[in-house]
Amino acid sequence: MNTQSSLAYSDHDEIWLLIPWYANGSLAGSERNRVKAHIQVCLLCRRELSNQTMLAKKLEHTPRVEISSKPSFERLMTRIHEEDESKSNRISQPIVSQQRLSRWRLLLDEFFTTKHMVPVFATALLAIAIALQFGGIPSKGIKDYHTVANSHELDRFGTQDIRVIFADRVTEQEISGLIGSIQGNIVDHPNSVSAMTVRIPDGMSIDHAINQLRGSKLVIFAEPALPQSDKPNGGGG
Amino acid sequence: MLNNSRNWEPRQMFKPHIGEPSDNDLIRQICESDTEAFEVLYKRYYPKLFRFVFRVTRQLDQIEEIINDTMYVVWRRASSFQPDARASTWIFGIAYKKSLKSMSERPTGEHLELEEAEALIPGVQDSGLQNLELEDWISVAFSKLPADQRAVLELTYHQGLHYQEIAQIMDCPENTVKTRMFNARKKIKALFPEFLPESSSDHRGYLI
Repeated sequence: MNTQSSLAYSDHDEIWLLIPWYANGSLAGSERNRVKAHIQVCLLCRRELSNQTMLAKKLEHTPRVEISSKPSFERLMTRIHEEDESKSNRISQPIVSQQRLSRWRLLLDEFFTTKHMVPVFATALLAIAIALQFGGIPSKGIKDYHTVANSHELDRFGTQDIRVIFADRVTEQEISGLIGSIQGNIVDHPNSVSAMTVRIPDGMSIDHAINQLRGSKLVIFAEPALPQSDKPNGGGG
Repeated sequence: MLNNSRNWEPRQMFKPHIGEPSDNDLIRQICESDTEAFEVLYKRYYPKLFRFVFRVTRQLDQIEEIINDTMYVVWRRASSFQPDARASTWIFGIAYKKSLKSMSERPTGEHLELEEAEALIPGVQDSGLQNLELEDWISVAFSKLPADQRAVLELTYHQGLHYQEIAQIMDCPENTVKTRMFNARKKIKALFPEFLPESSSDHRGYLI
């Protein structure tokens, strides 16, 4: 055994660990030379290198699987877009709220200084006292609450009347065309919520007319003006 | 003199063809929300990640989800990528973490048969998937190893990476990579002595 061989052999354990990376060709420089020198003098490491090379060849085998990445990519992009949209919604809402809040805070700061607070509280207390004395908080305002078909307006409508709300950018011509298609006449012009009343001829099916209106993109709402008691109401158009 | 390392060349997994943008170029473009660049990178890495994730997890029905979780991070965090680093190391590092996470969320032994899984994986042609599971002993050997050892074997022998890069991907010391490989080799030899004969039980060498 010569000195050079002894030196090459001395780090056998360390070389043993490095054999896989010598086998895959990723070692370089002095590290590679050390392994190479050791292998020349060590039978076990040489056999191990042979084994590892065989293992590498087995593992190198690429499966013949035809995989299309396109559907997966599309699913990922859908996920990203959806998240971006919901994120932008979440962001824009607080900004609007914050802007409103800061506006109100400015107003409050401006008008409700300490010297104003005493009369405000006094007025509020007085209002509560009056309300309690006359049997609770006045409920008269509830009558002014608007829906598309307020109950107090029902007397005006017949069974062949339909409340319709058209889309914002619809033209008069388009409205005439749509109403004409169900042989209807406008009997009540748009109220505060832009709902107009259309009357269809007697004998004509109101359900059919409503379905026809709902089928148009120009109509955002179509309902019987009077509640239909004999069957459940299907919701807005 | 014997020099087996020259008889077999590691795969050139990460080199784009001439004229194609490099991975790092693509990531730079992804930083500017370039979806076309992202699609190119996705297509480039899909088969590599498919194989790697399968090797590590052995859960065919989870592969797409893990790949998409990985590429989702690439899309979202492209700006955090260091331009002087290797994109493959970064991407495989993410995939490895996602694979481990997926495995930890699933009870062991809950694996699907290949035939069952084939229906779950989009884009896989009929009868193609069976080829993924090699019919020889190597598949059995892989099934007997823990995920970290499977990952080291795959990254070393299929991807042809140096142990330093594997350590970066697996986020562990280099010596841990060497030890994992050592244990994997030992186990494979113990299981299949006819394929990888002798020299394992006593690896003390001797001079010739």
